[in-house]
Amino acid sequence: MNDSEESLLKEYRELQLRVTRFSAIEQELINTRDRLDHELILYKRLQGFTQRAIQNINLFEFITLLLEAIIDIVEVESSFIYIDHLTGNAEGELFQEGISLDIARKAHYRSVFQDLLKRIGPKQAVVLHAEKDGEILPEELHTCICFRIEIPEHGFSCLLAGAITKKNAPLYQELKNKHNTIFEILCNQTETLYTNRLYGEELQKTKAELQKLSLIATQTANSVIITNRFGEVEWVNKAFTRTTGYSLEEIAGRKPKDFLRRMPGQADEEKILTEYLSQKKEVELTVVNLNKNGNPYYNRLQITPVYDQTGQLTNFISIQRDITREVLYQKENDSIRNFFEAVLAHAPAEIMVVDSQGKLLFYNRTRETGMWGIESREALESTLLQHSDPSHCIERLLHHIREAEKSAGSIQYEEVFAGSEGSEKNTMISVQPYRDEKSAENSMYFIVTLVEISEIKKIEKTIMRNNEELRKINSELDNFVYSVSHDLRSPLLSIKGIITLIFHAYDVSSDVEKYLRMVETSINKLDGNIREILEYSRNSRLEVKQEKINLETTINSIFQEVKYSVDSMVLLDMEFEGEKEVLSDRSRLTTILKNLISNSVRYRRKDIETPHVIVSVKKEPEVLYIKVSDNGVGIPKEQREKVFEMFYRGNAASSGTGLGLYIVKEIVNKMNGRVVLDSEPGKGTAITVSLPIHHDDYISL
Amino acid sequence: MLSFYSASARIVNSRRAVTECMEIALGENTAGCSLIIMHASMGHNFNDLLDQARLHAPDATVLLASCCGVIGREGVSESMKDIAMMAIKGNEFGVAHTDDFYGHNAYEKTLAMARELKSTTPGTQMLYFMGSGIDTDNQAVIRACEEVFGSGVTIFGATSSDNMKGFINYQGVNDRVYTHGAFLVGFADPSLSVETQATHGFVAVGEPLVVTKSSGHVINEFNGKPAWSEYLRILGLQADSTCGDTIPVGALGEKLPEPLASEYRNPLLLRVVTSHDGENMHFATSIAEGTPLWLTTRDESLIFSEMDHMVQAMKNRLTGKQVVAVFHADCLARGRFLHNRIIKEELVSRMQYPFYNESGYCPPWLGMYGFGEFARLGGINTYHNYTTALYVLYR
Repeated sequence: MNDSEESLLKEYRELQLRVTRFSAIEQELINTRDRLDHELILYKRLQGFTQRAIQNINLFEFITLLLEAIIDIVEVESSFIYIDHLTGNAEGELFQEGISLDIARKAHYRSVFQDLLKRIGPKQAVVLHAEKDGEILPEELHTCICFRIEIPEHGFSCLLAGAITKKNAPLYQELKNKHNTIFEILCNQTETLYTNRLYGEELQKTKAELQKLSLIATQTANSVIITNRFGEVEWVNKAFTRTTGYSLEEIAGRKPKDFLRRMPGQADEEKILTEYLSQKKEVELTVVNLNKNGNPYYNRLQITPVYDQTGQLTNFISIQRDITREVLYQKENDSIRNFFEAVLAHAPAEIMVVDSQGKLLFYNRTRETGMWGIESREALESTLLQHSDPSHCIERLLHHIREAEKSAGSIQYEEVFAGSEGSEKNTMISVQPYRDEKSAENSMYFIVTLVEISEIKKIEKTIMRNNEELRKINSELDNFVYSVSHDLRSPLLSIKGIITLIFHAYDVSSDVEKYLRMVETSINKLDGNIREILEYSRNSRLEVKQEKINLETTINSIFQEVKYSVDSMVLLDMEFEGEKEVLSDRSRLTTILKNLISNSVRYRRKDIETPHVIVSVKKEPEVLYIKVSDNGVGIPKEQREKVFEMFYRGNAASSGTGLGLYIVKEIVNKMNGRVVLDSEPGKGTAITVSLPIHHDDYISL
Repeated sequence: MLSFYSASARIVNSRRAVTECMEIALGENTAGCSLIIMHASMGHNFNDLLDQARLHAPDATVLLASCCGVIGREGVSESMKDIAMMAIKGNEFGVAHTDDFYGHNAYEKTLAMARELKSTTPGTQMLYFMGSGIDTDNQAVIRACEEVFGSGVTIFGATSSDNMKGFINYQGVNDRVYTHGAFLVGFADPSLSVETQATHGFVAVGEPLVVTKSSGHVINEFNGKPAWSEYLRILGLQADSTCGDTIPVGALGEKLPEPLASEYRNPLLLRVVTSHDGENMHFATSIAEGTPLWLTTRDESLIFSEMDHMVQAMKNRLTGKQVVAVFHADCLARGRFLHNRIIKEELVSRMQYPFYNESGYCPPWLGMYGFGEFARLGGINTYHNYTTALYVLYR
């Protein structure tokens, strides 16, 4: 290769290198363009942040947005916001994005940024590098860009930071001037936004408060008048117009007293108003005003002077309430109250109401002297113990009030008060507890009613004396009846015996025998009457005596005795449910059974072949049922009510005395039992006696 | 039958970002969501992303890969706080994943995943691959997949990335985040097919660099000189430049044989260098000694015309078919470092618009800016760099 060729080859290679290297130069241009293009993008991101931040977002959203903006706009790996004393916490609050911190590391970072907040000056971005600022930065951070924001008037300071870790540093651009610039812009914008936010919040609060106040003033049912310091109307609300009829346009600049007239006869109120307003003091009172149509209304008004910060009077605010209805209701209420108080005052009983502490709340004898010695209305609201006359009665009353409170039931007792000239007055006192469940305290009151019963006591004594005399007379009568009956029966039985002797000793003619038989029948009838009178008398005189009775034996014995009193065959059937032995009064029970069984036998149907008596006994734990039923003639419906009356007989042909069922009823009553009759003419009668059963431990020996 | 739902968003807080995407993709109807694939840029907390997705769809398998930016139905975004999601309902799929995935063991690790998938998911007819884009050998990935599933299986997907620093990248599977992980999704829905294609629009400049010493996917020397220094010298970059500095200007082109070059409408298949170990450069695929690699430069008009051509060709092949979802991998060098925002959005619009349905809606779309892309070329599964690769799923 000659020189010329070598020269050409060399030039070719240089040209080739230039062409190749042109790509690198071109790439540098592209990179420069890309950097500019990219910076434009970053500024657009900054604009985006500002646009979103000025929207109505809460503080947490604002912080989140800012954290992301630092990463997005400065193109760092992570971002931090340290706010000093945000929540009164001495350590301040640290927020972060793009880096995960456990509790310990977060505490360390918080401490680092708290320290940085003190070290760096405000309003300037500072870049810290691990190489030269390693002692300040957390170990894992490679670079950190910081900016301190101070808003002294709100006592606010915070540190904004973006950081790159050592681990990922190769992936990120080194933080240079362009980063400082854009970070400073971002931080300054943040400061402005946050300051506006703080002012905005205050403004919002004030506005909200004003809105509420305005709403209250506008919408309240009370009339509101605002005047200037001379008392000339500046503003009234709708309620004022509704109440008075005056619109703001009509009265603006006028003084209320010039258009809102008052009813005559309120000189005292007039004087108070003038006095307070001239002294520029708050006043509250009720007057009767006339509205635009001349109609009066009760006006409860409160006028308050308003002073500015320098103490100068600026306005009067008057809040007025139309209380006409309340006043009318009160008057009606008072009228009703007076009526009832008058009624109670004239009631024959003394009525007082006390609470559980003995405080006197009401007394209907305050205008005259009552038993309790409370003589005036002023005594109301005092305690009963303050009334010492008569003290012993008051003490007893308080004792019974406590008892009534404990038992929650009414208590009645008698009390004797001293009357005039040494006399005594008997009274009946009733203490009735009453709980007012509608009251908030759910209080308990006691209605004490006192009624004088001196006259009743007198009558009661007379009645008791009369009763005692009657008891004595009854007893004497009973003894008389018994004695007479007993004494009458003895000669009758003698006559009866003599007749029997005549029949045995003499062969009497048929006529004589007929007459003697008639005498014997009359004697038997008379003897029966006397016997029944004796039984009645015995039932009245003797106490009920309990003893053990075998009912089967007793019924059988009675039936055997009775069945021979008739000429035809009558059958007895007994049914027992439960024990046959009972505790009862033998004599009375026997009399009951004898009367009932003899009635069944006596009033059998003679047209049937098998008249019968059924005695059913059912013994329950507390009651003994004895039912005597037959298939006899029965009792007509109209007579059923009367058969238990004394000396009642169904018809003239009845052979009884008319005392049998009467005695049964009296005995059953004496034994606290019941007797029930069921009968159908032509089919039979059933009488059921139920008697309480006495157990062994009740036996009175 | 699988159904697809997508969403994308730019939100700083990682948990809220996932929630937002779930709401956009599925609304309140998260029931039945069985698979979630997410791409997120490096500013996100990847553990939080996984947790939040599992919170919304506890029964779903959640997959995640880092990237430099995302492309969704909502458009394109390249910031530190991007996220894109494809939520899938249905059961005709399987997932296998691995950790400690590097260039030197890419074949063995992929082989194990592929075998696991074949046993768990019979009927797999297409594979979605996503693996670490730093120190990997994607030719080995293809070889291992084809060894298990045969060359008829379509491999699509990409390698994850960071924000073009070549520093670290993340892959996530359910509750674990990896820095050198990979996952393979086998789709076994018989009603589903996939159409893939890639394009770059770069042209060669000057004489090639010849690989004079290499081992697997590691290049030790160019033109007999230490590889990394020679590479930077030729590019005119400072000696302390990073891989991130070389990526926009340092695309290396491997010559394609005919007829692949004709089909690709470009004689060069581009490769990227995502990391280096001193002078040793980690190439994206295995590279044989003696291979010439051309430096290339972008040609804007070619980029647009080739994009239109690719999309039209795919549309033609999809005539009469219903597009159900589009997966999309773009080289991170084709984003903001190559184009300004307007051109980038124009490009995305031109690749999406033709797939809109008759009602004028974009199909579910999950796109990411990563380190490299898989797509068939001449019917062969191929790994590309510096391309836009579209994977259109259709019935």
